[in-house]
Amino acid sequence: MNGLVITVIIAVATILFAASVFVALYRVIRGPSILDRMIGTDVILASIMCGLGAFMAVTGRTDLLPVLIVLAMLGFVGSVSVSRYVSKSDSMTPGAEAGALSDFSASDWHMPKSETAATDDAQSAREAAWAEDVARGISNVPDGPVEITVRDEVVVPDPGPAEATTASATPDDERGEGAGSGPDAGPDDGLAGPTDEVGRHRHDDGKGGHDGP
Amino acid sequence: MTPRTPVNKGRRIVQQLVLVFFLVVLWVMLWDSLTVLSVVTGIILAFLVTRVFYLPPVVLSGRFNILHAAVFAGWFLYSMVIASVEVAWFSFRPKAVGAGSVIAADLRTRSDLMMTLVADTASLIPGSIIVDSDRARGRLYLHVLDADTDEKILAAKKQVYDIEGLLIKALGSTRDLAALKVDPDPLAASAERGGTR
Amino acid sequence: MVLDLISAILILLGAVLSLAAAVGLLRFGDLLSRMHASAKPQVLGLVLIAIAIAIQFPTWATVTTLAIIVSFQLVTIPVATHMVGRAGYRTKHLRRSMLYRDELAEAVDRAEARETARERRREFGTDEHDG
Repeated sequence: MNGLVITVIIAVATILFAASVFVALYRVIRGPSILDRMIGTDVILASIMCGLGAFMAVTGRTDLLPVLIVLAMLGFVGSVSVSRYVSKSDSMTPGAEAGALSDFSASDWHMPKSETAATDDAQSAREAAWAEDVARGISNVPDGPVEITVRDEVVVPDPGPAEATTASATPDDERGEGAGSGPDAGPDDGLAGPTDEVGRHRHDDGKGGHDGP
Repeated sequence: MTPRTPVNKGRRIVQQLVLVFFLVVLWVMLWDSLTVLSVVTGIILAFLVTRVFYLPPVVLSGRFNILHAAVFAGWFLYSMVIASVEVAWFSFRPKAVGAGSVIAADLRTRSDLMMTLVADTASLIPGSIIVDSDRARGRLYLHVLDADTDEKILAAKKQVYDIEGLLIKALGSTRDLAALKVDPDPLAASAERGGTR
Repeated sequence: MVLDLISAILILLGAVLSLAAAVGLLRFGDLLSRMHASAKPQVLGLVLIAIAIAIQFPTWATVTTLAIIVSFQLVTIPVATHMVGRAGYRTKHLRRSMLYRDELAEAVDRAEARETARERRREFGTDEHDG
């Protein structure tokens, strides 16, 4: 009797696992954007992990545990790399980041573009992204959106994520504190940021030229 | 400013050793065997990994309150169960889920580790996803799932501040503790200032 | 045995949560909402199944490996969802309608307004000097 109950429970669980894989597969196929497909794949992967764990518990073998670790790592690396591809902001220099959004054509998303002109969209996306970075204090673009040339400039291909992260890591490392990063030199027109911002401000004044006294 | 080199150097060595220790523990747990061979190979590999893939050392605050950490762990597990069941209920119930919101939470801490931990925890617990962060101002932007009224937005913000308070009490540095004491209830403070920030 | 029954029930609950994650992925209307559905029930499902395995094999080796798996997922799932969420938020297609309030957009607009004002001030400064 006990065995029968357990068997029925396990059978229902198996059906539910299979159903969750198929439902997530629908999202992978249907998803209007690449990110939707990515999280659909992530759900499929996690369902496979859970199903494999259930299989291990039912059949009594533990040699498949490293497979779970590998699947978890694959899911994580896949998600992160797809999202870094989509928002190229992490791999490009901050000044060129605003151009990345407008590089995306509608075919990447399969969603109807409701805005009429592609240039309007590109312009607003550019300014919004640039303004975000200014607000977050990481943009090194000294002036307004005028500085950002999207179509004309040659976009430097990604030198490698390691370089980008170490470049941003070193100034933080120098600040190296024990008791909290502490407030920096105060927000200054929304350009508060780490110390390398000061260098950029100086560069900005030299380059901008005709400021007041 | 105090001379930072000797303090920094000693601190960095300690942090590297802590990292190596945890990597060795991970290695031994993966091999499922605590023998001399596995420990020695673990130490060698850990040193190799920390040298080759050099990361800037995480600045620990040097303070670890066991009691508050245990409270945090227990509350975290309980809230995770509640949050997962809630999301599952949203997916199964016939009525569609409400619109979400992106809210901003001004954290009282400025340290990177604390912000990361709050962000990690807030992703798992109260039904929010970290969309962006403003490290200079110590601000997290979260997307909350079922937040189509102002009360729900305030409840979500309160939860983030609760998480931050618990984490600061468990792991925070003295500066963070002072910031916590100055501003124990950011929602009340902002309500006094007026508006729903 | 009672332990087997408990394991079976935990596995069933894990399966229900996996299905909840997939159905949520199907039903929610927005990318950011779908990410909630994909992240949270999956973590709890994995924890439940790990407990089921640990009940069946209560040896130190298995329990430590399961602890590694669960803590790895606990740490990496928020990071992965954050990166996907940030990528999804920045492309303006995806954040259009389903947000009741958007404080990040307000901050972006404020910064943008500040910068255009600053730019305009600089222009006027230039004019005064040239004149």
